[in-house]
Amino acid sequence: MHSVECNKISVPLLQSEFGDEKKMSFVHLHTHSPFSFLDGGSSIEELVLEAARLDMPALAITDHNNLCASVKFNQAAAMAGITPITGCEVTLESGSHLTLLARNGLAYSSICALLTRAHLSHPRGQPRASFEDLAGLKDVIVLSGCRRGELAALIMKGRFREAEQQAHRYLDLLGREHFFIEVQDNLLPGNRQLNYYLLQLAQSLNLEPVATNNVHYARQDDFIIHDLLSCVRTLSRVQDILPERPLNREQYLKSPRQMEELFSFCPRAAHNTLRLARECEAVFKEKVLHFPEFELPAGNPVPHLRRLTFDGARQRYGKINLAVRERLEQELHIIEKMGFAGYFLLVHDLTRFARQEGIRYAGRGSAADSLAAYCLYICEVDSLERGLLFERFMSPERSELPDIDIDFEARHRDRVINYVYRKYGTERVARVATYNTYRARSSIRDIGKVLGFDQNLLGSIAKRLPYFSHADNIRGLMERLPELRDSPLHDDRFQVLLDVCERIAGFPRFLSTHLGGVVISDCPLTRLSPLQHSALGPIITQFDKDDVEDLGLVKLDLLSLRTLSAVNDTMRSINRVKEELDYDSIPLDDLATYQRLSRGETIGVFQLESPAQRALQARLGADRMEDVIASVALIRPGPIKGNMVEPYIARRQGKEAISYLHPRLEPILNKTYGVVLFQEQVIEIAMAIANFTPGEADQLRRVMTHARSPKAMEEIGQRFIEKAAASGVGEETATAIFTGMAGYASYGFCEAHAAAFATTSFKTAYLLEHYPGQYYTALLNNQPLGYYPANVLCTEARNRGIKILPPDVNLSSDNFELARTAIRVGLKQVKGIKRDEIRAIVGSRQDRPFSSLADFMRRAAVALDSAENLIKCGALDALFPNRRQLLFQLPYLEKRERQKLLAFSPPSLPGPGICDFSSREKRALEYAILGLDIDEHFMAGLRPELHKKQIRSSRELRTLPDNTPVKVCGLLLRPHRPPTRSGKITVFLSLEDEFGLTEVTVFEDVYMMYGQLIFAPQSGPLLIKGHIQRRGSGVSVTAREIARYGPSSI
Amino acid sequence: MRRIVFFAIEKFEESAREHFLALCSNYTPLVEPCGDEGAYLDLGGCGDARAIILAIGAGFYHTAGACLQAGLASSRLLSRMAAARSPDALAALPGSFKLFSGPGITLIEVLPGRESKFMAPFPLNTFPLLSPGALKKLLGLGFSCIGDLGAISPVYLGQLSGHNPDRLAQSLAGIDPTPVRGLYPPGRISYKLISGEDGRLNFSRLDEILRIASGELEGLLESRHCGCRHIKLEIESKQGAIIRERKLGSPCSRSGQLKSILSRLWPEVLPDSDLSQVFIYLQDLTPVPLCQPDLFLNRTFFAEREREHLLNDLLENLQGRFPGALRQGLELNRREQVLALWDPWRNGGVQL
Amino acid sequence: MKPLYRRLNVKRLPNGEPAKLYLPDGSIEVAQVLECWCDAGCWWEGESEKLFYRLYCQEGRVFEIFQDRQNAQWFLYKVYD
Repeated sequence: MHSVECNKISVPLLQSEFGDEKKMSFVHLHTHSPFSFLDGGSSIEELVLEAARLDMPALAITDHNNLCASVKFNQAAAMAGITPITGCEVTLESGSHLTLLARNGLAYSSICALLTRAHLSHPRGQPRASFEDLAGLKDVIVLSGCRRGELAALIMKGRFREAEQQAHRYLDLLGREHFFIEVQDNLLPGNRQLNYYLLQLAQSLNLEPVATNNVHYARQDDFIIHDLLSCVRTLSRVQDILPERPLNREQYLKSPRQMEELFSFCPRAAHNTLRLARECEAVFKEKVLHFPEFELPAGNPVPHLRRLTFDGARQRYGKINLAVRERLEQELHIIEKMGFAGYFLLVHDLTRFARQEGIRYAGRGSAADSLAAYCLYICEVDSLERGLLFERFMSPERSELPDIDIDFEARHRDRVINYVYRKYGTERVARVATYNTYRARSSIRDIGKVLGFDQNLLGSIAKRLPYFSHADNIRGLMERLPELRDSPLHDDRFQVLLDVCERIAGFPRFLSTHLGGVVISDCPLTRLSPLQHSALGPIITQFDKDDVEDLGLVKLDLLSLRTLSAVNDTMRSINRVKEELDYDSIPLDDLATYQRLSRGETIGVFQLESPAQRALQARLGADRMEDVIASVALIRPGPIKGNMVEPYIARRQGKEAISYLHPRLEPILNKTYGVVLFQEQVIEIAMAIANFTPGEADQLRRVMTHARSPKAMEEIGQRFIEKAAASGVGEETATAIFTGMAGYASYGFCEAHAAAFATTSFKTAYLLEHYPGQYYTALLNNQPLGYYPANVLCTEARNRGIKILPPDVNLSSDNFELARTAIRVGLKQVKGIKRDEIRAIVGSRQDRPFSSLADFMRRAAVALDSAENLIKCGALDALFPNRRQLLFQLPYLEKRERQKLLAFSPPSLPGPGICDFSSREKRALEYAILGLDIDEHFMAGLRPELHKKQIRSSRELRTLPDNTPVKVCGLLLRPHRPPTRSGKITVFLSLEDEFGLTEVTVFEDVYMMYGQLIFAPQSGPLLIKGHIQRRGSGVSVTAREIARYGPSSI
Repeated sequence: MRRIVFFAIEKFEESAREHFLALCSNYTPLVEPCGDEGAYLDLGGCGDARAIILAIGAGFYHTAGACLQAGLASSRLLSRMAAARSPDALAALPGSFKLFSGPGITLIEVLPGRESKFMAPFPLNTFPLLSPGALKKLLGLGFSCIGDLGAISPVYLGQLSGHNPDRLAQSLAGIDPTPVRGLYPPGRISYKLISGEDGRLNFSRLDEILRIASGELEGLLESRHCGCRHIKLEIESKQGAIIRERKLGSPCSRSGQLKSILSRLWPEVLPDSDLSQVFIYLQDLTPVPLCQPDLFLNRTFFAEREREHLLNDLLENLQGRFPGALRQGLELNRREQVLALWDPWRNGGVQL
Repeated sequence: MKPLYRRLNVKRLPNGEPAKLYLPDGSIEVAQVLECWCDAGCWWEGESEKLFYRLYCQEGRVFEIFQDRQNAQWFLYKVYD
């Protein structure tokens, strides 16, 4: 029984000593955002807005062991007009917590360094800071922490003396001006005693108390979110009892008045929050760019860059003419003025390394607007020849960092990144993080599991939701999409789940590595961001790509592109036979290639293979690079939504007159037939019509393309019209030009980027046209790649006379291989087979080929499952043609080998008398194991039956006139619902058969009737009735009825 | 020849079900109810099986107004398969069965000697001798129906499924020696002694046959938590029936005791020929008191299950008398568990 | 220590804290509020939030009582004696 001496509980004792304060406000100094990763129930914006609504002058965010929220929090706080206090709740090696708050930028850097050490010196996911490392903190306010703080924990265990000793240690290490006793009252049992002893401790050591509420959500209602996310975090169900879950709903952003009442026993603790908040300032006050220093013997990068650029220009052009010289001088002048010379040298150095190592790469993005980038071999687009504007890339009137993105061939991209680490040092280089956030599928799965719903049911519900749908739009989708009409989510029992999903939409779940983002800094990165291990291994910043840019860090996008690996493989394969083709010298005017494009036969071509692109190609009739560049820019959500495609094609084909609002527009817009397609054109128009400086013009482009506020648009529009009038363009014309530009520019595409992509597109089309065997083989070896799965590529290859040969344990290598006019499927395509096993197969047949299954099992020693798959897909057909009999023998062979070792008499093998699979069964097995149809396409087997029912093949459709009613049948491929201008849903899908693809358009009324057949697991071919639609040489089917195909279908 | 019929019955009221079973027991003592699904009858030696079945169907239709579907074959397995198959689905397989219908009944009779042909199109998972693993393996190999198994040697199939190849071969030929147990009326258990493929008794192995029968009868008694106080042996021959019986002072439920009683009841002299059938009846079934598991024989004797039932009854009773009180107790318990995580008073922390 | 679940009446101080408990066998004065906490309970089953007090009362008895926040009713939760 506990003994009670109630005269000791005179808590208000301290009140008189600390004194009362007249005016009461409050600042929450211990607040968790969603970046506490499943330990925060309200978004940063909600927290900031609530603090502002409660008239608080400041707010601190203190997430667990990270500063991920800080950039976004600082921005949100600035918008709301409150002071952001950046901090964190750090976990010490003892497992206890401490609250850290940065007074200024220096303090922020010291917290970054502390967190980095805490993360990197411990296993991933268990960051721990050492007590000694706290000494490195500068200007940081340290609060003694919540109940999991060391002092509170010792007091709760009744170890008061140790608590006092520990408080002394903190005091000695940090100093009185930095260390404070944190008191909380969120109505937990034991709080009164805990606070009593904490205040006694503060009094005895003459330390100041600070009140916090350990906030985990903005409003009391959000408690449920916090509780459920805690269950997700701890992999538990809502009924489970766990210390990590909150006991009550008191950890919200309480008002100053509520906090005043709670801390009426010690008003000073509440008042101290204001005092500390006043000591803190925003840590990101001004943006400083952190350019990495490119080390040079001479020190100054400018002359070095100039020399490299002009050397490159001489290589590119042979002789430098006046235009080139002038343009380069102008660019170098701006680069020098803006201090970006080192940056250019850095990027040049990377590409030089790639070239030297034989790693294929291609610069993309606006960097191709720069002639210097072309001369430095950073990109392959000649901006002078194309008339591209350098200002789109870089402008002295914009202090922003230029963005240089480079695609490297996927296989060797990491070698380039390793080079960056070696060159600049691991302390200055890190990969950029990305936040995995809650979307519809993940939220249904996670929260549904916590609420105790059956996981299989949740899985099937989630799978039916569109892949990228947002968690706060599930109800909208359930109303809208026919395939969700009978979703179990309509049941009442799922309503709480849906409510919660809506509230956690976009909350981060965990930190992972960005695809290609790498930051390089001039100073140790730990001054700017904490670093930590990612799941994949590389060290990452705690910020995503937008945040690192806001921090002033230089980010390079070193992306991996499988297409470039495929190109490299193709070139190697071509040049192995005859050394005559140089990829860089592929002629960009090859007639046969343009003819292929015009037929829309572009499956496998980079960026030009989607159904929309193929349809465009078939209508456009491309015969020059301009057309290819325009194609890349046209098939984007923006231009499609903006209805730019039709006018462009009409003008390109001469069916619509090309007119210009002003003669000065003609030289700018003639290459796109009077249509504003590229962002560069907006800049040029602003310069030509309104005499804008390049910087001003680029600002106009940015206002338009980023769909800024209507006010900004109006202001810049006014300036445009005024300045146009000054340059002699009438107000009416200027207004018309501005409106037209605004209409198109929000969808505009960077021409340099389009040109960079188009070059690769054309060259891959060239390889497809002239070297189909090599190119298809390379594409198959670099899967997954492009828009279509391997089986579609095989169908295409077959249609071009290339045979697909089954895998063979005596003939196949690990990869697909071209043998004259046939492609032999590689062993790596066999499902479930391991790399070691392939190596063992290839290695052991070098002495002599395998002669039987027994021989194969003895020498190759593959696992039973792999052997079974090899048999099923026909890789052992050459050894014995009856696959079923081989499968029967398999377990006995394995047993026999084992018993031989143990000197038992081996069991006899199952003998003849087992009938083989039918050829149809074999095809099904091959598809299941390889993902490919080997001999013939699945649909070819059904063709006689389909023919009788007058169901057309994709080949037959090509010859039918417009509007012919047809029935088509095939395997469903890539159904998608791109955004449309009207907002109505149109579904585009492909039906695959043995002759290729049939493109089908499903309009909203038909989709509403049959949507559940399209967006659902497929069990066989689909039968679609509709009519032919012809456009140019392209053919598609507009659907009227959709059904699953079965023998009784008619 | 064994004549086993399975009646598939729709779910109907308890009284109708009872009436149906009583009707059946007029024709044979071997009526084995199978829960809600139907009942097996062994009509061997009872006369024209087809006529009996049609009569049962008509009688039931007249009294209960419900229809029956029946399958008649030489084994339990096949009779059930036949009853489960709709006549439409069988239309594709002429020559292996005959279809009869009368008022309120459809009967499918599997023709003797055509059993394997009849079974061939049934899906593989209806074949009872395949373990889930073997079934998965065979489905993976593209075998989808029972007929496909004919392509595999029974020896290899035996190795695959872990069953005796002879038993497998028999089953694939439609031979299933499992007897129909007379479990109706509930106060009595009837059992027919049979042996061998043709269902006739082989007296040279009498001891073995009685041992097997006693074991099965013990299982039947155990499943009912009962013992019997009356054992009757009925031997039918053309000359008439010999009836030997014994009443017991305390209920008997163990196989050893059953076997020794049956052996003693067996007449020393039997008519040489024309034995048509032999039945064992266990009557006066009374519940056996709770027993502890017999650890030496490694047998569980229903004590645990009984205890569980008792506990549930008790809880239900309490719930009825004090509605909500039990739940409250659970809540209190949960709250205390949660508080133990937070309250230093409860987990021995801060002392005042 | 017995877990209880009985209704009771409570006289409160202006700050809301209990001052006197009215039990079936008479009233008892609260000498000191030892602890106060709030428990959300099984909210997913519709349980309402409860405000608990641990009270040191006359004769050295310790009571735990709670108020259901939904209907403001008081209950005796535990008596330590």
